[in-house]
Amino acid sequence: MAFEQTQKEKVIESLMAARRQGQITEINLRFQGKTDEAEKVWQDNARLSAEIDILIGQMMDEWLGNAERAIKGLAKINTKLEAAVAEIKKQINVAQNVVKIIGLLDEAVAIAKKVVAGF
Amino acid sequence: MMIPKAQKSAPIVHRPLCFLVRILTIVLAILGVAGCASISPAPFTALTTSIQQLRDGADASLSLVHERTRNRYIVEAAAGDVAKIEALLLTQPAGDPFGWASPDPPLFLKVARFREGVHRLNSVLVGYAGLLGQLASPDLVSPEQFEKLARDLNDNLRTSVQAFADSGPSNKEIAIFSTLGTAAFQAYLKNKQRSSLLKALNSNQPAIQGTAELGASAVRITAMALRNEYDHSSQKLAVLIASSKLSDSGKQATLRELIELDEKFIKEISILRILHQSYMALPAAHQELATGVTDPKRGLPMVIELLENGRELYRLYEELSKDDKKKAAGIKS
Repeated sequence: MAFEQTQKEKVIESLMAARRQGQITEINLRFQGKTDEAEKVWQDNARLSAEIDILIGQMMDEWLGNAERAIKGLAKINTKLEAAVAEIKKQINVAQNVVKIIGLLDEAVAIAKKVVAGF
Repeated sequence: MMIPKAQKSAPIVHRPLCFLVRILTIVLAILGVAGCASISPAPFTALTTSIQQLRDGADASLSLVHERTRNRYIVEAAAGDVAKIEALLLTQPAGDPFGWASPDPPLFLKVARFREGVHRLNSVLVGYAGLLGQLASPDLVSPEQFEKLARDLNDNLRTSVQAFADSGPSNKEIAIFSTLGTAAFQAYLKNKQRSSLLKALNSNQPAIQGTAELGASAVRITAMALRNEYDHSSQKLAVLIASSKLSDSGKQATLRELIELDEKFIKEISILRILHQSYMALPAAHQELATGVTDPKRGLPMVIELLENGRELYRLYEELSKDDKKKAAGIKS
């Protein structure tokens, strides 16, 4: 099965890549002692992080909506499978009962024969 | 036309019995049960095991994501992010005495709901695989059951027939009838078992395809969330290392921590890669089960791939757990 990233996945991926570049820039600026510039980049990154968190949360919510339908569909399938298993078990039970009934009939015939012989 | 004496004097019960034996022999031949290989339950057991591993693996990864998003939230809120503190003050939705709402639900709460949803989806999938296993199980139409049925039928028929007619069929003939009768019934049920299984496998293929796509998508979202947390944690450590206030030994210790974080992240993301591959292999493995029932000589490469992925997952979990134990021991000492 091949997979294709959704548009939203692509957007989040590119936002995360941009933030990563921002983080690397911030670290470089701190190593160079440019603290003010580094703080500014940090603030931009923080805003971007908040957006990324929101988008990840949205993706999770959307997924849950789709999963709910799939769970219901699979539950229906499972009910049908349970019925198929039960049907086979039931038929075996019926056969066992038929054999038992033959045994009971046999006893009834033996009793009937004795009764007939008594007349 | 001369009719042989023996045939002429055949008892009433005897003739229908001979006919029935012949019919039953034909039925057995049509169903081809004598030469037909029974369903192998092994691939179905393998599928159930693999899906259980998928469920456990996805849940373990999402547990990590939940813990990390929650910890990050605590740190950010504690640093004075008022909006984050406000989001923790849950309110009651109007008219819902049991509900709760947050003005801006924190990510960790969404992760918790997502984790529960993924677990539910995977559990229904585990249930499906288990039911397929039941339907494929040799125990469902077990030979022992039918041997007992044949014995009981034989015992009961013998006395019944003798009770009805003094010159009935021989014990041997009744035994053949009982054996063939139950064998035909067993063949019928085995055939029903096989056709029910095939019908289920074929008709549920699109549903399994859809579920596998959802599972794979959940793993990609999890990977995204895990990477998001890694990006935050690794950046924090790098900022510490860049700080001029930190001593050389402090920098070395933080660097070691960053390396360990990287190593851990590589293993965790590898687990997600394997989980993703397993979901991607699931539809083909499911399809293979159907072809395997039709032609048992066919190989099951995708089912085997799923099992191998499971072994690899176990190995990576073991490694991660060893690392955690080492780290915990290091902290204690």
